[in-house]
Amino acid sequence: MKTLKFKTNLNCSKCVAGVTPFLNKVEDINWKVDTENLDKILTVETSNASEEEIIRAVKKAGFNAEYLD
Amino acid sequence: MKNSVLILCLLISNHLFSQSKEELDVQKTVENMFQTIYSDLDESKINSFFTPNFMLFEDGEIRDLSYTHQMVENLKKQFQNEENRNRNFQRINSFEFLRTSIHEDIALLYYTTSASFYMNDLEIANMKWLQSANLIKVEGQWKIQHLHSTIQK
Repeated sequence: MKTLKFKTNLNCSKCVAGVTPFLNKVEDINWKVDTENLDKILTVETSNASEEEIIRAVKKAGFNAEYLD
Repeated sequence: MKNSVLILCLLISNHLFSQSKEELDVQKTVENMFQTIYSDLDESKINSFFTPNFMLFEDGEIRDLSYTHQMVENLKKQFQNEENRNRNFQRINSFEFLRTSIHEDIALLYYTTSASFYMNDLEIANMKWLQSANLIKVEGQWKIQHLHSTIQK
């Protein structure tokens, strides 16, 4: 199990509700957004999913995600 | 004399009680609106909670009822697509009312509200706002005419 972190622009309730269905399509992940952090950090725990898959899902929902090493 | 004082006390307590009930009704309208529109995404109830000239000030923009209809419609489409039908997404709202004042058929509310978002019982986000609301009474029912919302720090 690995933990991936992303800087996002998920800064509103409809952003969280809007990104949920797209992240749900990525298999084998648990995720959480820290909306109180200035960088709106998206934390993903997964065994198999790659950072590219997560970024693609967030962008498909109409938002931005930048992988943090 | 005693009777007059007693009647006066009854009138005052009755007035205070009825005002308090009215305040609770106004607060309940706001709570129910968030549950019905923002949590249950029931677009058919939008007109029962808002006046036709409703305005929402949010993110530095002025939004109206058509925006609210569009938002609910879009979210419903996303949640009802094939991949997401088997997920349980929940938004649970909570409120702390700071001040509620009523002047005849106009009510002003100042409150903080937070929303916890859950997916399959796992919390995925929590947000807090500072908001004010203006409501007017239309045919005996409180309706929201204006909401001003800002993220709480």
